[in-house]
Amino acid sequence: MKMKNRIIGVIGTLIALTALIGVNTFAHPCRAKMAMACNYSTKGAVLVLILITAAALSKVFITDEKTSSVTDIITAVGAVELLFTKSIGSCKMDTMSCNTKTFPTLTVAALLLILLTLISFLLRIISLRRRKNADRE
Amino acid sequence: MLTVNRFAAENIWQQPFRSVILILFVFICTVSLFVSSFLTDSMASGINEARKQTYADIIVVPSGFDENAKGTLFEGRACTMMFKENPLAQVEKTEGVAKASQQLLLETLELSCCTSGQVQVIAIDTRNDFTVNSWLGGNKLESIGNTDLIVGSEIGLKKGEVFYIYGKEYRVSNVLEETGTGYDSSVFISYDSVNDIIETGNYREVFGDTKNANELASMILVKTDSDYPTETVNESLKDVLLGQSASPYTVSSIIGGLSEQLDRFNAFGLLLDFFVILLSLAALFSFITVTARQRRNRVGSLLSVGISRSKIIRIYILEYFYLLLIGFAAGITVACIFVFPLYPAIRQTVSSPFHIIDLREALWISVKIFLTLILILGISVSSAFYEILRHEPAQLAEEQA
Repeated sequence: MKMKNRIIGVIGTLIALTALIGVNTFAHPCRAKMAMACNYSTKGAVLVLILITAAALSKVFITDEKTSSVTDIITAVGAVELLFTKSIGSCKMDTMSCNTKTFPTLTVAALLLILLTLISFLLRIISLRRRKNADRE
Repeated sequence: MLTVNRFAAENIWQQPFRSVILILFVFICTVSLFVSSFLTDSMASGINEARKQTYADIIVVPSGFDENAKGTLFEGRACTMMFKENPLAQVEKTEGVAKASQQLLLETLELSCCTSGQVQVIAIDTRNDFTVNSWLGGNKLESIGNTDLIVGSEIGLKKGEVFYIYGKEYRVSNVLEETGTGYDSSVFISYDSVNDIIETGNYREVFGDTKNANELASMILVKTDSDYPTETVNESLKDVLLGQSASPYTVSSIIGGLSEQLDRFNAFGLLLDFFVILLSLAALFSFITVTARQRRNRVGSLLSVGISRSKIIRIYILEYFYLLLIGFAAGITVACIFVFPLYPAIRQTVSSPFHIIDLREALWISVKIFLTLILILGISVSSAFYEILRHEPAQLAEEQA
């Protein structure tokens, strides 16, 4: 289970880091002279991504079950928050950079992180059941 | 009690590395096949929509600007272009022309810093336009005023919202449905409202010294008479417009060019799919055959204690079916996570009409991929099954040298 936690931690870190770098480079929102609503949303998303990256990294180095569960919860909650980043503020027009690149990138990262957390959770359940069956025998 | 299901699950759990690698092969195969089908089917759907939505038979554009016109009509690339002399009167008089309507294409001045796509402003003659009128489903254009705006589906504005073009305030009166063409990222205003903009005198660099917007045009859309073949009318227009820096093109030739582009993309996609399937088949075949050889001893022991060959084969089938199912489900999920949210960005990158496939089409693609994977699995396990069926238990239970 420790090795599985490490692998999941590495994948989670890569996803969060890619999204973090992405929204500051190729998937950046509007860079107009005046700050637009989407700039504030993206700043909020960046904070959440930093938190998720830290949680995923800690999963790599601290592999005990309790810490692993806590980091999974932080990642899942953070990912759900990323899904709703657009509601903080976005541009009206669908052709604006934030709507074509920034928010879709955050959506993809959030969905991948939620999927990863589900897989981690499932693996933990299967591992616990197998341990129970082995103890019974 | 160790059922067939539990036995199969145990086999998967006992060899995690092998199981993960098998899942990964199926995953990569699924993602690759899904994404290539999604792209080609969406492009085909876009071209079909473009064919349906373009009510004109011929388009007349300034000579040398046919690529710009194609970019605006089908790819959403904004441009500003105008005839040196508006040829509308001559086009209308040409034999075989049933209707002709002019449009003026203008790029937006603002938003260029912020839009990853472009917004095209199109001025239409509300009295004789037949394209936008058809999309609105009736004679609604006659009621369009100087401050009214019709927007494409990608603009993201709702009815009643305010938008500024060339310093003038407009209110959205209609939102068009998605067409999969460049019109989705366009806004439509009346020619009378362009006159209001010209009167301000602030945009001489765009309109020159013209006082009347009707003298300006970027495209003439032509509907041919049903008694005249489109090609014949097109040739007549070429003769009429000779020396006028204006060129007519049939819509079918433009769409035909796009269809050829799609065919090339399709062929490339099929080649890629073929290699992905071949590699997956080779990988799965080798993995499953090697695993079968490693399990000879175990299979021999099971046969020796009275477990039937059919039961052992069922265990194998279930084991690999579960792995295939997990890889397939993961592949479809991840592929959908990428293509559906990133659809706006993909659409802007593809230089062709692009209309996203619906849920029914996506499900059908998934079913085809699943059946392909079942076939690959069937071929891959054939060697392993043959091994079990061919040998006696004692032979299988022999220690490997």
